[in-house]
Amino acid sequence: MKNFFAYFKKEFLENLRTYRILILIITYILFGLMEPIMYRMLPMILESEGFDPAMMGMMDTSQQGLLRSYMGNLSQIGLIVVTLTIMGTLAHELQRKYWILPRSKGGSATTLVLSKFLLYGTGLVVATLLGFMVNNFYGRVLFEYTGLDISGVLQGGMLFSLYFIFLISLLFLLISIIQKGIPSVLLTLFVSFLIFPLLNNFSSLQNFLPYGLIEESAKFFFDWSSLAPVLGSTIVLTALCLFGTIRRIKTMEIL
Amino acid sequence: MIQVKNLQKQFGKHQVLKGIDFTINPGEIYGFLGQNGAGKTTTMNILTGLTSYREGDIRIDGLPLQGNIEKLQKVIGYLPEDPQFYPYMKGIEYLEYIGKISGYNREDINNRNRELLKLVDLTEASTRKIGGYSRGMRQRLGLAVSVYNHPKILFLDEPSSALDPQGRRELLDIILGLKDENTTIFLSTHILSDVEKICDRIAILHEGTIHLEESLETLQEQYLQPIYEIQWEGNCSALKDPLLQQTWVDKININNNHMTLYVHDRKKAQGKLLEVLSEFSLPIISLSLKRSSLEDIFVKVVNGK
Repeated sequence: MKNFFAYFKKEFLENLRTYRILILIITYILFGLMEPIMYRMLPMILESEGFDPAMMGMMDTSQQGLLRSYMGNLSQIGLIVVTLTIMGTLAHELQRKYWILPRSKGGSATTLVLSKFLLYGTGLVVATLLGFMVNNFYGRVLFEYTGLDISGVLQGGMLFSLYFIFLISLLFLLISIIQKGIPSVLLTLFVSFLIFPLLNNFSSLQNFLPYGLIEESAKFFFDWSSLAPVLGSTIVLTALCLFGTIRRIKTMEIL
Repeated sequence: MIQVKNLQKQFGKHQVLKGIDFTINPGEIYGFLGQNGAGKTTTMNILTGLTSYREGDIRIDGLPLQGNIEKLQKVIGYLPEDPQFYPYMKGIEYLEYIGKISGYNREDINNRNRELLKLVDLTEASTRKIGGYSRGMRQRLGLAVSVYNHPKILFLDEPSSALDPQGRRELLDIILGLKDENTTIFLSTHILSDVEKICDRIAILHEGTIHLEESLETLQEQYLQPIYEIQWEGNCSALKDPLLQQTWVDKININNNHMTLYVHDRKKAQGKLLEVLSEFSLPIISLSLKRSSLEDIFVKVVNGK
Protein backbone atom coordinates (compact mmCIF):
# COMPACT_ATOMS: atom_id res chain seq x y z
CA MET A 1 0.00 0.00 0.00
CA LYS A 2 2.91 2.31 0.89
CA ASN A 3 4.32 1.48 -2.52
CA PHE A 4 1.01 2.32 -4.17
CA PHE A 5 0.90 5.76 -2.54
CA ALA A 6 4.45 6.46 -3.77
CA TYR A 7 3.39 5.68 -7.32
CA PHE A 8 0.09 7.51 -7.04
CA LYS A 9 1.83 10.60 -5.69
CA LYS A 10 4.28 10.43 -8.59
CA GLU A 11 1.39 10.16 -11.09
CA PHE A 12 -0.35 13.07 -9.41
CA LEU A 13 2.81 15.17 -9.63
CA GLU A 14 3.19 14.20 -13.29
CA ASN A 15 -0.31 15.48 -13.92
CA LEU A 16 0.25 18.71 -12.07
CA ARG A 17 3.30 19.39 -14.22
CA THR A 18 2.19 18.01 -17.60
CA TYR A 19 -1.44 19.23 -17.30
CA ARG A 20 -2.81 16.03 -18.89
CA ILE A 21 -5.98 15.77 -16.82
CA LEU A 22 -6.44 19.53 -16.90
CA ILE A 23 -6.35 19.36 -20.71
CA LEU A 24 -9.04 16.67 -20.61
CA ILE A 25 -11.26 18.65 -18.24
CA ILE A 26 -10.95 21.84 -20.30
CA THR A 27 -11.68 19.92 -23.53
CA TYR A 28 -14.77 18.28 -22.05
CA ILE A 29 -16.07 21.56 -20.59
CA LEU A 30 -15.45 23.43 -23.84
CA PHE A 31 -17.32 20.80 -25.82
CA GLY A 32 -20.11 20.91 -23.23
CA LEU A 33 -20.30 24.67 -23.49
CA MET A 34 -20.08 24.92 -27.27
CA GLU A 35 -22.93 22.52 -27.97
CA PRO A 36 -25.86 24.58 -26.51
CA ILE A 37 -24.38 27.81 -27.84
CA MET A 38 -24.10 26.35 -31.35
CA TYR A 39 -27.66 25.00 -31.16
CA ARG A 40 -28.86 28.44 -30.04
CA MET A 41 -27.03 30.28 -32.77
CA LEU A 42 -27.62 27.84 -35.61
CA PRO A 43 -31.03 29.26 -36.70
CA MET A 44 -29.50 32.74 -36.95
CA ILE A 45 -26.51 31.40 -38.89
CA LEU A 46 -28.81 29.52 -41.26
CA GLU A 47 -30.93 32.61 -41.78
CA SER A 48 -27.96 34.86 -42.45
CA GLU A 49 -26.68 32.34 -45.02
CA GLY A 50 -30.04 32.36 -46.80
CA PHE A 51 -31.27 28.97 -45.56
CA ASP A 52 -34.65 28.33 -44.02
CA PRO A 53 -34.30 28.39 -40.19
CA ALA A 54 -37.04 25.77 -40.11
CA MET A 55 -34.32 23.29 -41.12
CA MET A 56 -33.52 23.26 -37.41
CA GLY A 57 -36.65 21.19 -37.03
CA MET A 58 -34.73 18.28 -38.54
CA MET A 59 -32.43 18.31 -35.51
CA ASP A 60 -33.29 16.99 -32.08
CA THR A 61 -33.13 20.14 -29.99
CA SER A 62 -34.55 18.61 -26.84
CA GLN A 63 -32.53 18.57 -23.62
CA GLN A 64 -31.67 14.91 -24.20
CA GLY A 65 -30.94 15.60 -27.87
CA LEU A 66 -28.43 18.25 -26.89
CA LEU A 67 -26.67 15.86 -24.52
CA ARG A 68 -26.69 13.08 -27.13
CA SER A 69 -25.12 15.41 -29.66
CA TYR A 70 -22.49 16.30 -27.07
CA MET A 71 -21.86 12.60 -26.46
CA GLY A 72 -21.51 12.07 -30.21
CA ASN A 73 -18.80 14.72 -30.39
CA LEU A 74 -17.03 13.36 -27.34
CA SER A 75 -17.01 9.81 -28.64
CA GLN A 76 -15.28 11.00 -31.80
CA ILE A 77 -13.10 14.10 -31.37
CA GLY A 78 -13.12 13.69 -27.59
CA LEU A 79 -11.77 10.16 -27.83
CA ILE A 80 -8.92 11.30 -30.08
CA VAL A 81 -7.99 13.99 -27.53
CA VAL A 82 -8.23 11.52 -24.62
CA THR A 83 -6.08 8.80 -26.20
CA LEU A 84 -3.46 11.25 -27.48
CA THR A 85 -3.27 12.94 -24.07
CA ILE A 86 -3.02 9.76 -22.04
CA MET A 87 -0.80 7.63 -24.30
CA GLY A 88 2.42 9.29 -23.11
CA THR A 89 2.02 8.30 -19.51
CA LEU A 90 2.69 4.61 -20.14
CA ALA A 91 4.44 4.78 -23.52
CA HIS A 92 7.20 7.00 -22.10
CA GLU A 93 7.78 4.66 -19.17
CA LEU A 94 8.57 1.85 -21.60
CA GLN A 95 9.89 3.62 -24.69
CA ARG A 96 12.08 6.18 -22.90
CA LYS A 97 13.03 3.60 -20.27
CA TYR A 98 11.92 5.70 -17.26
CA TRP A 99 10.76 2.41 -15.78
CA ILE A 100 14.23 0.79 -15.53
CA LEU A 101 15.52 2.50 -12.39
CA PRO A 102 12.34 2.07 -10.31
CA ARG A 103 12.11 -1.54 -11.51
CA SER A 104 15.72 -2.22 -10.54
CA LYS A 105 14.75 -1.07 -7.03
CA GLY A 106 11.96 -3.63 -6.88
CA GLY A 107 9.24 -1.38 -8.34
CA SER A 108 6.02 -3.23 -9.04
CA ALA A 109 4.46 -3.32 -12.52
CA THR A 110 1.04 -3.92 -10.94
CA THR A 111 1.30 -0.74 -8.88
CA LEU A 112 2.65 1.22 -11.83
CA VAL A 113 -0.27 0.29 -14.08
CA LEU A 114 -3.00 0.49 -11.44
CA SER A 115 -1.92 3.89 -10.12
CA LYS A 116 -1.99 5.31 -13.66
CA PHE A 117 -5.33 3.66 -14.37
CA LEU A 118 -6.88 4.91 -11.16
CA LEU A 119 -5.71 8.48 -11.67
CA TYR A 120 -6.70 8.77 -15.32
CA GLY A 121 -9.92 6.84 -14.73
CA THR A 122 -10.89 9.25 -11.96
CA GLY A 123 -9.82 12.20 -14.11
CA LEU A 124 -12.01 10.98 -16.96
CA VAL A 125 -15.05 10.49 -14.71
CA VAL A 126 -14.62 14.00 -13.28
CA ALA A 127 -14.09 15.54 -16.74
CA THR A 128 -17.13 13.72 -18.20
CA LEU A 129 -19.45 14.60 -15.33
CA LEU A 130 -18.32 18.24 -15.43
CA GLY A 131 -18.80 18.33 -19.20
CA PHE A 132 -22.29 16.81 -18.95
CA MET A 133 -23.27 19.26 -16.20
CA VAL A 134 -21.97 22.29 -18.11
CA ASN A 135 -23.79 21.13 -21.22
CA ASN A 136 -27.00 20.60 -19.26
CA PHE A 137 -26.68 23.91 -17.38
CA TYR A 138 -26.29 25.98 -20.55
CA GLY A 139 -29.03 23.94 -22.21
CA ARG A 140 -31.34 24.92 -19.38
CA VAL A 141 -30.25 28.57 -19.49
CA LEU A 142 -30.52 28.96 -23.27
CA PHE A 143 -33.50 26.74 -23.98
CA GLU A 144 -35.26 26.83 -20.61
CA TYR A 145 -35.37 23.03 -20.38
CA THR A 146 -36.98 21.46 -17.34
CA GLY A 147 -37.49 17.77 -18.12
CA LEU A 148 -34.24 15.95 -17.29
CA ASP A 149 -33.01 16.29 -13.72
CA ILE A 150 -29.38 16.34 -12.60
CA SER A 151 -29.44 12.71 -11.48
CA GLY A 152 -30.29 11.57 -15.02
CA VAL A 153 -27.47 13.71 -16.43
CA LEU A 154 -24.99 12.23 -13.94
CA GLN A 155 -26.15 8.67 -14.61
CA GLY A 156 -25.68 9.20 -18.34
CA GLY A 157 -22.27 10.81 -17.75
CA MET A 158 -21.16 7.98 -15.49
CA LEU A 159 -21.95 5.27 -18.04
CA PHE A 160 -20.40 7.29 -20.81
CA SER A 161 -17.16 7.71 -18.85
CA LEU A 162 -17.06 3.96 -18.12
CA TYR A 163 -16.79 3.31 -21.85
CA PHE A 164 -13.80 5.64 -22.02
CA ILE A 165 -12.26 3.97 -18.98
CA PHE A 166 -12.48 0.65 -20.79
CA LEU A 167 -10.76 2.24 -23.80
CA ILE A 168 -7.92 3.47 -21.56
CA SER A 169 -7.32 -0.08 -20.38
CA LEU A 170 -7.29 -1.20 -24.01
CA LEU A 171 -4.85 1.60 -24.86
CA PHE A 172 -2.58 0.51 -21.98
CA LEU A 173 -2.63 -3.09 -23.20
CA LEU A 174 -1.74 -2.05 -26.75
CA ILE A 175 1.07 0.23 -25.52
CA SER A 176 2.52 -2.60 -23.41
CA ILE A 177 2.54 -4.84 -26.49
CA ILE A 178 3.62 -2.37 -29.17
CA GLN A 179 5.62 -0.11 -26.82
CA LYS A 180 4.84 2.89 -29.01
CA GLY A 181 2.21 5.55 -28.34
CA ILE A 182 0.84 6.65 -31.72
CA PRO A 183 0.29 3.17 -33.25
CA SER A 184 -1.47 2.15 -30.02
CA VAL A 185 -3.73 5.21 -30.20
CA LEU A 186 -4.56 4.48 -33.86
CA LEU A 187 -5.46 0.88 -32.98
CA THR A 188 -7.65 2.00 -30.07
CA LEU A 189 -9.47 4.44 -32.36
CA PHE A 190 -9.78 1.72 -34.99
CA VAL A 191 -11.46 -0.55 -32.43
CA SER A 192 -13.82 2.18 -31.23
CA PHE A 193 -14.67 3.73 -34.59
CA LEU A 194 -14.81 0.62 -36.75
CA ILE A 195 -14.65 -2.73 -34.99
CA PHE A 196 -17.23 -2.02 -32.27
CA PRO A 197 -19.84 -0.43 -34.60
CA LEU A 198 -19.38 -3.44 -36.93
CA LEU A 199 -19.74 -6.00 -34.13
CA ASN A 200 -22.70 -4.06 -32.79
CA ASN A 201 -24.67 -5.24 -35.81
CA PHE A 202 -24.63 -8.78 -34.46
CA SER A 203 -27.51 -9.10 -32.02
CA SER A 204 -25.78 -11.90 -30.10
CA LEU A 205 -22.81 -9.62 -29.35
CA GLN A 206 -24.70 -6.36 -28.86
CA ASN A 207 -25.47 -6.98 -25.21
CA PHE A 208 -21.87 -7.71 -24.31
CA LEU A 209 -19.93 -5.02 -26.14
CA PRO A 210 -18.58 -2.12 -24.04
CA TYR A 211 -19.75 -0.01 -26.96
CA GLY A 212 -23.28 -0.63 -25.66
CA LEU A 213 -22.48 1.73 -22.75
CA ILE A 214 -22.82 4.66 -25.15
CA GLU A 215 -26.36 3.58 -26.01
CA GLU A 216 -27.11 2.94 -22.34
CA SER A 217 -25.80 6.35 -21.32
CA ALA A 218 -28.13 8.00 -23.85
CA LYS A 219 -31.11 6.73 -21.81
CA PHE A 220 -30.04 8.93 -18.85
CA PHE A 221 -31.04 6.36 -16.26
CA PHE A 222 -29.73 2.97 -15.13
CA ASP A 223 -31.90 0.52 -17.04
CA TRP A 224 -30.52 -2.53 -15.27
CA SER A 225 -32.24 -5.07 -17.54
CA SER A 226 -30.13 -4.05 -20.52
CA LEU A 227 -27.27 -2.44 -18.60
CA ALA A 228 -26.23 -5.43 -16.46
CA PRO A 229 -24.72 -7.63 -19.25
CA VAL A 230 -22.96 -4.67 -20.90
CA LEU A 231 -21.60 -3.43 -17.59
CA GLY A 232 -20.51 -6.92 -16.54
CA SER A 233 -18.66 -7.62 -19.79
CA THR A 234 -17.05 -4.15 -19.73
CA ILE A 235 -15.73 -4.74 -16.21
CA VAL A 236 -14.40 -8.18 -17.19
CA LEU A 237 -12.78 -6.87 -20.39
CA THR A 238 -11.25 -3.91 -18.54
CA ALA A 239 -9.82 -6.24 -15.90
CA LEU A 240 -8.45 -8.53 -18.61
CA CYS A 241 -6.80 -5.62 -20.42
CA LEU A 242 -5.19 -4.42 -17.18
CA PHE A 243 -4.08 -7.94 -16.28
CA GLY A 244 -2.57 -8.35 -19.76
CA THR A 245 -0.79 -4.99 -19.46
CA ILE A 246 0.70 -5.86 -16.06
CA ARG A 247 1.74 -9.32 -17.21
CA ARG A 248 3.36 -7.93 -20.35
CA ILE A 249 5.32 -5.25 -18.43
CA LYS A 250 6.43 -7.79 -15.82
CA THR A 251 7.86 -10.12 -18.43
CA MET A 252 9.20 -7.38 -20.68
CA GLU A 253 12.80 -7.75 -21.79
CA ILE A 254 14.85 -4.66 -21.11
CA LEU A 255 17.50 -4.36 -23.79
CA MET B 1 29.13 -13.17 -4.16
CA ILE B 2 28.17 -13.73 -7.83
CA GLN B 3 28.51 -17.07 -9.57
CA VAL B 4 27.60 -17.42 -13.22
CA LYS B 5 27.76 -20.74 -15.03
CA ASN B 6 27.09 -21.39 -18.69
CA LEU B 7 24.96 -18.27 -19.14
CA GLN B 8 23.33 -18.12 -22.56
CA LYS B 9 21.11 -15.50 -24.13
CA GLN B 10 19.62 -15.23 -27.56
CA PHE B 11 17.81 -12.33 -29.26
CA GLY B 12 15.96 -13.80 -32.25
CA LYS B 13 18.57 -15.75 -34.18
CA HIS B 14 21.48 -13.85 -32.70
CA GLN B 15 23.11 -15.57 -29.75
CA VAL B 16 24.56 -12.76 -27.64
CA LEU B 17 25.95 -14.88 -24.81
CA LYS B 18 27.28 -18.32 -25.71
CA GLY B 19 27.75 -19.82 -22.29
CA ILE B 20 29.79 -17.54 -20.05
CA ASP B 21 31.19 -18.47 -16.65
CA PHE B 22 32.66 -16.22 -13.99
CA THR B 23 32.78 -15.78 -10.25
CA ILE B 24 33.03 -12.49 -8.37
CA ASN B 25 34.30 -12.52 -4.82
CA PRO B 26 32.81 -10.38 -2.03
CA GLY B 27 34.23 -6.86 -1.84
CA GLU B 28 35.89 -7.15 -5.23
CA ILE B 29 35.78 -4.65 -8.10
CA TYR B 30 35.31 -6.72 -11.22
CA GLY B 31 35.97 -5.02 -14.55
CA PHE B 32 33.84 -6.34 -17.38
CA LEU B 33 35.30 -5.32 -20.73
CA GLY B 34 34.29 -5.88 -24.29
CA GLN B 35 33.65 -4.18 -27.59
CA ASN B 36 30.32 -2.47 -28.34
CA GLY B 37 27.65 -5.14 -28.79
CA ALA B 38 29.73 -7.81 -27.02
CA GLY B 39 26.88 -8.46 -24.54
CA LYS B 40 28.07 -6.53 -21.47
CA THR B 41 24.79 -4.63 -20.93
CA THR B 42 22.79 -7.79 -21.63
CA THR B 43 24.80 -9.61 -18.95
CA MET B 44 24.13 -6.77 -16.50
CA ASN B 45 20.43 -6.68 -17.31
CA ILE B 46 20.25 -10.44 -16.71
CA LEU B 47 22.13 -10.24 -13.41
CA THR B 48 19.86 -7.42 -12.19
CA GLY B 49 16.72 -9.35 -13.10
CA LEU B 50 15.66 -7.00 -15.89
CA THR B 51 16.09 -9.52 -18.69
CA SER B 52 15.41 -13.23 -18.82
CA TYR B 53 17.98 -15.79 -19.94
CA ARG B 54 17.79 -18.95 -21.95
CA GLU B 55 20.12 -21.20 -20.06
CA GLY B 56 22.60 -21.05 -17.24
CA ASP B 57 22.93 -20.98 -13.50
CA ILE B 58 23.23 -17.68 -11.65
CA ARG B 59 23.70 -17.36 -7.90
CA ILE B 60 23.86 -13.99 -6.23
CA ASP B 61 24.59 -13.58 -2.53
CA GLY B 62 24.11 -17.33 -2.15
CA LEU B 63 20.66 -17.41 -3.77
CA PRO B 64 19.69 -18.61 -7.24
CA LEU B 65 18.55 -15.61 -9.33
CA GLN B 66 15.57 -17.52 -10.74
CA GLY B 67 12.71 -17.23 -8.30
CA ASN B 68 14.49 -14.74 -6.03
CA ILE B 69 14.61 -11.65 -8.23
CA GLU B 70 12.46 -9.48 -5.97
CA LYS B 71 14.42 -10.51 -2.89
CA LEU B 72 17.76 -9.96 -4.59
CA GLN B 73 16.76 -6.55 -5.98
CA LYS B 74 16.82 -5.35 -2.37
CA VAL B 75 20.57 -6.05 -2.13
CA ILE B 76 21.45 -4.95 -5.66
CA GLY B 77 22.11 -1.49 -7.07
CA TYR B 78 22.15 -0.80 -10.80
CA LEU B 79 23.27 2.20 -12.77
CA PRO B 80 22.41 1.84 -16.49
CA GLU B 81 24.64 3.40 -19.12
CA ASP B 82 22.23 6.26 -19.84
CA PRO B 83 19.89 6.50 -16.85
CA GLN B 84 16.50 8.01 -17.68
CA PHE B 85 14.41 10.03 -15.25
CA TYR B 86 11.02 11.72 -15.31
CA PRO B 87 12.00 15.16 -16.64
CA TYR B 88 9.22 16.96 -14.75
CA MET B 89 10.52 15.75 -11.37
CA LYS B 90 13.11 17.55 -9.27
CA GLY B 91 16.22 15.63 -8.23
CA ILE B 92 15.12 15.53 -4.60
CA GLU B 93 11.61 14.38 -5.56
CA TYR B 94 13.04 11.52 -7.59
CA LEU B 95 15.21 10.35 -4.71
CA GLU B 96 12.20 10.54 -2.41
CA TYR B 97 10.24 8.42 -4.88
CA ILE B 98 13.02 5.81 -4.96
CA GLY B 99 13.22 5.90 -1.16
CA LYS B 100 9.52 5.14 -0.87
CA ILE B 101 9.72 2.31 -3.43
CA SER B 102 12.63 0.89 -1.46
CA GLY B 103 10.44 0.88 1.66
CA TYR B 104 12.19 3.61 3.70
CA ASN B 105 10.30 5.78 6.19
CA ARG B 106 10.11 9.57 5.98
CA GLU B 107 13.00 10.28 8.38
CA ASP B 108 15.34 7.76 6.73
CA ILE B 109 14.45 9.16 3.31
CA ASN B 110 15.34 12.71 4.37
CA ASN B 111 18.65 11.59 5.88
CA ARG B 112 19.58 9.37 2.95
CA ASN B 113 18.68 12.07 0.41
CA ARG B 114 20.94 14.60 2.15
CA GLU B 115 23.77 12.07 2.37
CA LEU B 116 23.55 11.01 -1.27
CA LEU B 117 23.08 14.47 -2.74
CA LYS B 118 26.26 15.50 -0.95
CA LEU B 119 28.06 12.38 -2.14
CA VAL B 120 27.25 13.03 -5.81
CA ASP B 121 27.54 16.81 -5.46
CA LEU B 122 23.97 17.60 -6.47
CA THR B 123 22.75 19.33 -3.30
CA GLU B 124 22.29 22.70 -5.00
CA ALA B 125 20.75 21.26 -8.17
CA SER B 126 18.38 18.97 -6.26
CA THR B 127 15.52 21.49 -6.33
CA ARG B 128 15.76 21.88 -10.10
CA LYS B 129 13.80 19.77 -12.57
CA ILE B 130 15.79 16.80 -13.91
CA GLY B 131 14.79 17.77 -17.46
CA GLY B 132 17.31 20.61 -17.16
CA TYR B 133 20.20 18.44 -15.93
CA SER B 134 23.27 17.77 -18.09
CA ARG B 135 24.13 14.15 -18.96
CA GLY B 136 26.86 14.17 -16.32
CA MET B 137 24.40 15.37 -13.65
CA ARG B 138 21.94 12.66 -14.64
CA GLN B 139 24.73 10.10 -14.39
CA ARG B 140 25.54 11.33 -10.86
CA LEU B 141 21.87 11.25 -9.87
CA GLY B 142 21.74 7.73 -11.30
CA LEU B 143 24.66 6.76 -9.09
CA ALA B 144 22.82 8.14 -6.05
CA VAL B 145 19.75 6.08 -7.00
CA SER B 146 21.82 2.94 -7.54
CA VAL B 147 23.38 3.09 -4.05
CA TYR B 148 20.20 4.30 -2.31
CA ASN B 149 19.44 0.97 -0.64
CA HIS B 150 23.04 0.39 0.58
CA PRO B 151 23.47 -2.45 -1.94
CA LYS B 152 25.79 -5.35 -1.27
CA ILE B 153 26.38 -5.62 -5.00
CA LEU B 154 26.56 -2.68 -7.35
CA PHE B 155 26.30 -2.98 -11.13
CA LEU B 156 27.73 0.00 -13.01
CA ASP B 157 27.32 0.16 -16.77
CA GLU B 158 29.71 2.71 -18.27
CA PRO B 159 29.32 4.96 -15.22
CA SER B 160 31.91 7.54 -16.21
CA SER B 161 31.20 7.80 -19.93
CA ALA B 162 29.36 11.14 -19.59
CA LEU B 163 31.59 12.69 -16.97
CA ASP B 164 34.35 15.26 -17.32
CA PRO B 165 37.86 14.37 -15.99
CA GLN B 166 37.11 15.93 -12.58
CA GLY B 167 33.76 14.09 -12.38
CA ARG B 168 35.45 10.84 -13.40
CA ARG B 169 38.06 11.16 -10.70
CA GLU B 170 35.34 11.84 -8.13
CA LEU B 171 33.37 8.83 -9.35
CA LEU B 172 36.40 6.57 -9.02
CA ASP B 173 36.89 7.85 -5.46
CA ILE B 174 33.23 7.07 -4.69
CA ILE B 175 33.63 3.56 -6.12
CA LEU B 176 36.77 2.97 -4.06
CA GLY B 177 34.90 4.28 -0.99
CA LEU B 178 32.14 1.74 -1.64
CA LYS B 179 34.74 -1.01 -1.94
CA ASP B 180 36.07 0.03 1.47
CA GLU B 181 32.54 -0.55 2.78
CA ASN B 182 32.82 -4.08 1.33
CA THR B 183 30.45 -3.49 -1.59
CA THR B 184 31.04 -5.86 -4.48
CA ILE B 185 31.21 -3.92 -7.73
CA PHE B 186 30.61 -5.18 -11.24
CA LEU B 187 31.91 -2.50 -13.56
CA SER B 188 31.55 -2.29 -17.30
CA THR B 189 33.48 0.50 -18.97
CA HIS B 190 35.34 1.49 -22.10
CA ILE B 191 37.70 3.72 -20.18
CA LEU B 192 40.52 1.26 -19.61
CA SER B 193 42.61 3.65 -17.56
CA ASP B 194 39.75 3.66 -14.99
CA VAL B 195 39.82 -0.13 -14.91
CA GLU B 196 43.58 -0.09 -14.33
CA LYS B 197 43.10 2.31 -11.43
CA ILE B 198 40.39 0.52 -9.49
CA CYS B 199 39.67 -3.04 -10.63
CA ASP B 200 40.92 -6.11 -8.80
CA ARG B 201 40.11 -8.52 -11.59
CA ILE B 202 38.93 -8.17 -15.16
CA ALA B 203 37.16 -10.24 -17.75
CA ILE B 204 37.12 -9.60 -21.47
CA LEU B 205 33.90 -10.58 -23.21
CA HIS B 206 34.25 -11.14 -26.92
CA GLU B 207 31.84 -12.70 -29.40
CA GLY B 208 29.63 -14.02 -26.62
CA THR B 209 32.34 -15.77 -24.62
CA ILE B 210 34.79 -14.72 -21.96
CA HIS B 211 38.20 -14.74 -23.63
CA LEU B 212 40.17 -13.78 -20.58
CA GLU B 213 39.59 -13.55 -16.84
CA GLU B 214 42.45 -12.64 -14.57
CA SER B 215 43.59 -10.38 -11.79
CA LEU B 216 45.05 -7.16 -13.16
CA GLU B 217 48.42 -7.85 -11.59
CA THR B 218 48.77 -11.33 -13.07
CA LEU B 219 47.60 -10.05 -16.40
CA GLN B 220 50.17 -7.32 -16.60
CA GLU B 221 52.84 -9.82 -15.57
CA GLN B 222 51.73 -12.25 -18.28
CA TYR B 223 51.69 -9.59 -20.94
CA LEU B 224 55.08 -8.03 -20.05
CA GLN B 225 57.01 -7.31 -23.20
CA PRO B 226 60.73 -8.12 -23.52
CA ILE B 227 61.59 -4.45 -23.95
CA TYR B 228 63.63 -2.25 -21.61
CA GLU B 229 63.50 1.53 -21.63
CA ILE B 230 66.78 3.10 -20.42
CA GLN B 231 67.39 6.80 -19.85
CA TRP B 232 71.08 7.80 -19.73
CA GLU B 233 72.60 11.01 -18.43
CA GLY B 234 74.12 11.84 -21.83
CA ASN B 235 74.16 10.66 -25.44
CA CYS B 236 74.31 6.87 -25.46
CA SER B 237 75.00 6.16 -29.17
CA ALA B 238 78.44 4.75 -28.37
CA LEU B 239 76.91 2.02 -26.21
CA LYS B 240 74.92 0.43 -29.01
CA ASP B 241 77.69 -1.78 -30.50
CA PRO B 242 79.00 -3.23 -27.24
CA LEU B 243 75.45 -4.09 -26.16
CA LEU B 244 74.59 -5.74 -29.47
CA GLN B 245 77.45 -8.19 -28.87
CA GLN B 246 75.43 -9.75 -26.05
CA THR B 247 73.69 -12.90 -27.31
CA TRP B 248 70.41 -12.11 -25.48
CA VAL B 249 70.06 -8.66 -27.10
CA ASP B 250 67.90 -8.54 -30.21
CA LYS B 251 68.02 -4.91 -31.31
CA ILE B 252 68.55 -1.40 -29.96
CA ASN B 253 66.95 1.92 -30.84
CA ILE B 254 68.65 5.10 -29.68
CA ASN B 255 67.28 8.60 -29.54
CA ASN B 256 69.92 10.88 -28.00
CA ASN B 257 70.05 9.79 -24.33
CA HIS B 258 67.08 7.42 -24.54
CA MET B 259 67.63 3.77 -25.38
CA THR B 260 65.04 1.08 -26.19
CA LEU B 261 66.55 -2.37 -25.76
CA TYR B 262 64.77 -5.41 -27.23
CA VAL B 263 65.81 -8.78 -25.82
CA HIS B 264 65.25 -12.36 -27.01
CA ASP B 265 64.93 -13.81 -23.55
CA ARG B 266 63.55 -11.66 -20.75
CA LYS B 267 64.65 -14.02 -17.97
CA LYS B 268 68.23 -14.19 -19.19
CA ALA B 269 68.27 -10.44 -19.68
CA GLN B 270 67.02 -9.88 -16.15
CA GLY B 271 70.09 -11.68 -14.76
CA LYS B 272 72.68 -10.06 -17.01
CA LEU B 273 71.41 -6.58 -17.85
CA LEU B 274 72.42 -4.69 -14.69
CA GLU B 275 75.86 -6.30 -14.68
CA VAL B 276 76.51 -5.31 -18.30
CA LEU B 277 75.16 -1.78 -17.90
CA SER B 278 77.26 -1.15 -14.82
CA GLU B 279 80.42 -1.60 -16.91
CA PHE B 280 79.68 1.61 -18.79
CA SER B 281 80.91 4.87 -17.33
CA LEU B 282 77.78 6.77 -18.43
CA PRO B 283 75.37 7.12 -15.49
CA ILE B 284 71.82 5.77 -15.80
CA ILE B 285 68.87 8.00 -14.86
CA SER B 286 66.16 5.37 -15.15
CA LEU B 287 65.58 1.80 -16.27
CA SER B 288 62.22 0.13 -16.68
CA LEU B 289 60.67 -2.92 -18.23
CA LYS B 290 58.00 -1.82 -20.66
CA ARG B 291 54.59 -2.96 -19.46
CA SER B 292 51.64 -3.57 -21.77
CA SER B 293 48.80 -1.22 -21.04
CA LEU B 294 45.36 -2.74 -20.54
CA GLU B 295 44.53 -1.26 -23.91
CA ASP B 296 47.33 -3.31 -25.55
CA ILE B 297 46.08 -6.45 -23.79
CA PHE B 298 42.46 -5.73 -24.75
CA VAL B 299 43.38 -5.24 -28.42
CA LYS B 300 45.46 -8.43 -28.40
CA VAL B 301 42.65 -10.46 -26.88
CA VAL B 302 39.87 -9.20 -29.15
CA ASN B 303 42.04 -9.50 -32.25
CA GLY B 304 43.12 -12.99 -31.22
CA LYS B 305 46.83 -12.08 -31.31
